[in-house]
Amino acid sequence: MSIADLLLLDEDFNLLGHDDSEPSHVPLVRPEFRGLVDLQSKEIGRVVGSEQKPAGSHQFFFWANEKTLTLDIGHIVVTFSEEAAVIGVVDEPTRYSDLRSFLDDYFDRQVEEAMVFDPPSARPEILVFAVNVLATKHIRDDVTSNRPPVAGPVYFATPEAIDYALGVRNFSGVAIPALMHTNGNYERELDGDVVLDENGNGVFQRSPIWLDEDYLLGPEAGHANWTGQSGLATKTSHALFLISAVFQGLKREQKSVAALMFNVKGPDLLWLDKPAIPEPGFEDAYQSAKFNGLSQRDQEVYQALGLAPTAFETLRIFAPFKPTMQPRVDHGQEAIHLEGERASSSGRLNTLRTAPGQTSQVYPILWQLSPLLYNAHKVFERDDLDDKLWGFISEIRDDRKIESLGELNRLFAEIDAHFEERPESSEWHGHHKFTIKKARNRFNGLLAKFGGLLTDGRVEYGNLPRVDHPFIDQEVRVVDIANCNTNVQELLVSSVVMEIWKKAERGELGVDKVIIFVDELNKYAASGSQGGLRDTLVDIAARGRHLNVVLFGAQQFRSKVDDEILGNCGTSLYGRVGDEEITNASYRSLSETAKAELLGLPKGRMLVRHAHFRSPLFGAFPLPPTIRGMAGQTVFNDAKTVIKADSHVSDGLYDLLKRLTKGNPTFTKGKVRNETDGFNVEAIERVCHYVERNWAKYVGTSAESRFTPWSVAQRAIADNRAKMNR
Amino acid sequence: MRTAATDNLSIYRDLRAAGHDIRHMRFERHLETARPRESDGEGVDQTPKAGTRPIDWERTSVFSHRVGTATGRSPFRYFLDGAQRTLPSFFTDVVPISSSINVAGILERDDEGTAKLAANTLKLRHTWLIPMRSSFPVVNAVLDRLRQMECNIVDPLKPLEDDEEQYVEALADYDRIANFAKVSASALRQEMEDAVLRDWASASQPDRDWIVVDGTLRQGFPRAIGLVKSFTYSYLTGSHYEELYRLKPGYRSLAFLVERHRLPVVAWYLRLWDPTGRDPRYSLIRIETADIDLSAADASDQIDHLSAWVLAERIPSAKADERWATLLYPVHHLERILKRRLDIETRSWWQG
Repeated sequence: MSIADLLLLDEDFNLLGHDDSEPSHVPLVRPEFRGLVDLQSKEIGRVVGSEQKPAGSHQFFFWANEKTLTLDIGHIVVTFSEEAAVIGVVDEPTRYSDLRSFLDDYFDRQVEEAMVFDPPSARPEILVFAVNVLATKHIRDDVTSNRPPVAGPVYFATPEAIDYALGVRNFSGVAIPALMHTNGNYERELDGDVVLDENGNGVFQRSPIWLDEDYLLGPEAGHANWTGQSGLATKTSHALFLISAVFQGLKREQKSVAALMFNVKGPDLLWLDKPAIPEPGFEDAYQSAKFNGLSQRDQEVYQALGLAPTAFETLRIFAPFKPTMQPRVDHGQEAIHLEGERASSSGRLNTLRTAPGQTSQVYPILWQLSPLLYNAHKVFERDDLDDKLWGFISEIRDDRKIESLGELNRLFAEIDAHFEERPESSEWHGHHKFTIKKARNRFNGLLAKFGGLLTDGRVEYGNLPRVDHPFIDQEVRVVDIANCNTNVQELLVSSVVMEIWKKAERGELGVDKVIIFVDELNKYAASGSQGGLRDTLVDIAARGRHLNVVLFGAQQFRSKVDDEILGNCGTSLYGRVGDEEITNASYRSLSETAKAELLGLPKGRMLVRHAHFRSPLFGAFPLPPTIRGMAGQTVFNDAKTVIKADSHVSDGLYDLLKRLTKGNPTFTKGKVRNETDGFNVEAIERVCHYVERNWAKYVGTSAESRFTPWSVAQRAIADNRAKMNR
Repeated sequence: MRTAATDNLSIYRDLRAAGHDIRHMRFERHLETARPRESDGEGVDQTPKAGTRPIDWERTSVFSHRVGTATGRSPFRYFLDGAQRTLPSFFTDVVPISSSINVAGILERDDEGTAKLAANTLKLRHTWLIPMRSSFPVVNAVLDRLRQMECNIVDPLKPLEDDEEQYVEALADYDRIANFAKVSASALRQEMEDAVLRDWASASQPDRDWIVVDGTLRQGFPRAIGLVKSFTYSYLTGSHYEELYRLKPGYRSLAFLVERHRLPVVAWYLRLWDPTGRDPRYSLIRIETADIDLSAADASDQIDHLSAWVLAERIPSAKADERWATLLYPVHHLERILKRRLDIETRSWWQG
């Protein structure tokens, strides 16, 4: 069957009649493929294969119709082989003329400049595009074809063709929109007219670039990785957008999901529960913070992607205390009861989210000594950790079951007494006195070294959420380590990730899927490094998709990240990449055109590679649905701006109640304000703590049907008002 | 799809199957690349009859002058050219049988300088060149087959048809038949170009833009010029002849009227590029037109105007072609299209 037959037969193999409504030069396309090609944009070029550049299964070439001015890199087109439609993404453009050398044109120009007009003839040029094949669709559904296209017409692809090329029909999981692809043809009204924007310009065809949940979050494949220059590539912005898309997609399918993130810079990830579109009363405050929110265009993109531009409904922030501000045991105390300390912890936690009414979801992290004993390689210097010290640590951890610095100090006192009673002895339980002295010296420095994280007594959390507890559905858990010293940062990241991984291995995550977002991945899993967190991250990358934990990692230098992690990533995204980095072998799978594009990629655009895609694709994404960290800090935390905004000290309680009632409150913000009229910050926080503590007890019991979070709050409000009135 | 290549192969096979002693020449290149025999006087110029000299001259006292800068809009919108490919098909006894494939067309250029083939102007014809008055049985068997297939047939020895003795003598000379075939092929191409021009001119408006014909002007249509790029005959003699070969770049000679095959044309020479260090004929072209009256007061101005625009057509230059110094780009463009058409028609020659 020739290409002519392919084009001119209907499904009954009758020759298609000429349609008078179509221009006579538009060839007729087989019915099976009509939905794949934009016939209204007509032919945009013609496939060519020469001796030097033949058409292949994975790449072919076509020269573009000179009238097709909108065709460019990254657009998706369709052409045909003998019995199939071939869908591909446009790559390298090359313009050919018959000019033998640059000098010939230079000499022509000498003559041309002597003229008073333009030369009458234009040297013909053709623009030839290379196309990387994404998919082929055979006329039979049960046949997979890899035959190269034949010489023939090329068309812009329709959204149907793009979905086919992305493999959406084969998705086994939820389709998650990751980016928006813009093609070179225009969107059209039903009557065929081009859709125009507010400036009268044609609106280009847009269609989502979908990722398969089962290949992003497991079990088929998993993990995602972002690469790009800091400040230019918008890695975190896209990661937040994608996590929001995942949350919404899984919620629709009634699957539970949560995310764990580490805030490493300022207030970047501290305001993820605040929307990018200001709520009524906050418009001026947003403007004062120079945050314009989501543009109309961004909102249209959300709508086109089937997403709501709403903030994360369940945000929990965990932070250690500021150095020297952590609770210490009083005389006679063995343990610190953190739940009781919470009321007075405002301002003492090492986080920038401190404003009254905004801290109901901020929780402390406080450690006793025992976790550090299990991370000795992170606690002590490498040179210090010889076998002798290891032995002593093992004794106190495993044999003596020491849990706190207080207990350790009492042990040291016992050891002192031992040596006092036996001056001739040089050892205690097989440990040399100098080893013990060295250990004591090192342990004495731990409170300062891990300032704010470590306390001297045991720590009882009570009912307070813990950073390594199981997750709840739609939770975003942020560990704020931005202002911590390096020792605390590394220890916390390592410890938290390892604990979550252990829970995953035991099936105790609490949700169907957990996403761990780690920025600066080259710091925690550097190429060639060994041990500790790197090994855990490699393990997550290798096995996580089967245990419902996936790693979303971001870094500036992909080449500096461990290959085992990158190699297990089913999805890779690239923003702007620096010129030194792009020459690295890590980018060898990208075409030269794609690499050149990455060097100058603007903000808001990414290149995505996904398990289903035969070739990477460029696309755009809107701003995340949450306010930017710095802006959020100004609007919701800065005293001056908070005063300007229409806020009340009880708004934090309202937010908490709304969260606990899963966004379906039977009360209004005004009612909450009225009932807490006259309450100060401390009183509101006491009410919040009371509600959280008691509601957590009711959930899953018969009490849940008898009480509501609001009724619990009203009880606390009444108690506090009674105390105020006394 | 029937092409010259498919015809060639099927005829050969049929005759071989019938037991005729016919030999193929599949490894031969087309005759246009073969060296001509000196005595045949083969050349690209349409050599006028001996003694043809100008019968009128431009009213000027100087032999040459510099052509001014072109002004206004180019008068040239159409360009006509043809191409041929003559392939040795088979031989039998000492008689070569050739296939001549000729194509011609007109290129139309728009105001932006973009050129395309003008609608309905492309013509192609495959003609068999085979002696039609021989007594060779195999030759005649080929003839019969060609007639059955309704192929175009021309006798290359037609110029000798009135001289039986010469005809028979030629039949015994392989080289001579081959060279006559080349001449016939050129004539066929010229006929085809003439037909294309005739059909186009009759269908076009009389006030249309000018057409540039590649080669001598054989028909007197209005608003047409012929461009002769290489010539072996000069109409000028004596001191004019010497001055012609010293013509400077951007200069034209005086114009003259000649009557050629009952067609009066005004002609002049124009130097396109600097010939320093080269053959004195380098970049020298002859321009002809039947549309100028030398006695008219503005004849010189008209000739200057046409010459200035021909000069403007020097760029873009077609350096990929070794004849670029006298090859106007639109003609080069058209040649490429026509030669591609020939490629398609002769694709898989002898390969089936």
